[in-house]
Amino acid sequence: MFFSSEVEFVWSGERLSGAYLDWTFDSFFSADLIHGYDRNRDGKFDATETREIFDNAFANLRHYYYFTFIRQQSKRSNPAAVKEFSARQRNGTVSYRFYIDLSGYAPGELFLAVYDYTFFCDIRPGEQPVRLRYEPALVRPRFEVVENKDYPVYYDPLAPADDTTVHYSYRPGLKTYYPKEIRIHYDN
Amino acid sequence: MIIKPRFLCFCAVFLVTAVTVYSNPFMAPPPDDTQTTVSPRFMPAPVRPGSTDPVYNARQRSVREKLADAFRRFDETGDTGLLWGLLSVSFLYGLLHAAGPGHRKTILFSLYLARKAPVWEPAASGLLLSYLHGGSAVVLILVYRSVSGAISAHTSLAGVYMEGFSYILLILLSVYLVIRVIMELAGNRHGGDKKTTRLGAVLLSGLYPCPGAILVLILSVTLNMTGTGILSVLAMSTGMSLPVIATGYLAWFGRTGLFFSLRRQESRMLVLSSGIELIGYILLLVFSVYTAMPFIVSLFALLNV
Repeated sequence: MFFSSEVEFVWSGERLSGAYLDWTFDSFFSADLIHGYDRNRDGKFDATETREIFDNAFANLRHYYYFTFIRQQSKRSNPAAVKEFSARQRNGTVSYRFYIDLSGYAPGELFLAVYDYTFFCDIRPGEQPVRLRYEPALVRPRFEVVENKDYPVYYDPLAPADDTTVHYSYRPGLKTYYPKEIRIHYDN
Repeated sequence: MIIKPRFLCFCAVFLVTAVTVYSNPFMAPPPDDTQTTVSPRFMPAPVRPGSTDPVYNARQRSVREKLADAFRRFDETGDTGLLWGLLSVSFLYGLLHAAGPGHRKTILFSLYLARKAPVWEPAASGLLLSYLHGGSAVVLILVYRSVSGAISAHTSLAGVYMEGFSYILLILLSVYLVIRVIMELAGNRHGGDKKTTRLGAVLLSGLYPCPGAILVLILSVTLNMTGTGILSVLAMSTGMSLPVIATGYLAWFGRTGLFFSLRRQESRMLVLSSGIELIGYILLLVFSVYTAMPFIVSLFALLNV
């Protein structure tokens, strides 16, 4: 399956507080979700339907780090949980939106990448892959998308699809993947 | 021991009652998560996938979205011309899909490397394999189309079993064939044609559903176009058969060419024939074991819990 990803970084005052991730899915996965979870066929997902989608078609991503990888200098981490999950549908296409907390990261520079290291999902940037929401009087953030050759991720091309191991060091047999990272840098 | 056709048919029926492969990280239920309403399920690891190329993935993605558009446009207009367009895109998608990893190309290569066959047989086997592969998806979607929730969520669990057990049966079959050839070599006699076992291998290896066909059928069910979906899968299966048949003929021509060049050296031919047969079945065995190993290991781990 494949989906497009967009990230909206949000500042609270001078500090980066978090980011909303918007994922829009392909026609086939969308059709399955609509068929399975829009119970009343009203063209939208109500609270109960959204909860069902979260439980049955999203929650398992916690075992895959929600496909979200965060780096500050050489230190890499992943979101422990997500908040404000919502699902919507439009013209047969389903999108998810959820929030990850970035308030615990030091100000200055941060890298964020969205990718499926199991390679089951093909993740592409959306039409507006990065958005910034901030108060200009308080902070001046900038972003760029870079393929970082200094911090590759290694993957086993023949590992079972449920192998959730992320390889940060090379060993024979692994292939090298250079994730495209969103580089956010800001000063006050 | 002679494997009777009846036993192979039993295996085929057994496999048909299992379900499809779909290891979607979104859909698989968390096995140890107590914070959701989803109850844990008994799920071994799927078999190994093949590695994929980003360019190939991009092409598949593009064709697949065109196929989805074709379904929607045909649904809106009912234009017969659009139906032919839909079937053409389905054929192309099948061709592209089977050109990638899987779809039993290695199985067919091993078989036709190992054994002499009439010129039409690789084509027939390739077509049979592909239609069984697509047909399995049709049967399973017809069973699961009325379930609650996303169809793929329900099929993901049991589907791992179907592909896994199809490989285990291939392992057993190839072990039998290897032993039989070794016994023939040791007894210094050439065995009879093993058409039944070869046909059995084709049936066994084809009786698990194509994930690509599953996707197309899910879309067609959600659009209330199941009949069109089945036609699409038929076209897809025809497209899928081409890379599979090509692989079969690659082995067939290789073997035929080699033996043609040795046609005047009968004693060498007999030894070489058995040797190549043994290599072919060992290749089949090694490939099946390597591919199925994650499934087998995790199955034993689950059974020991």
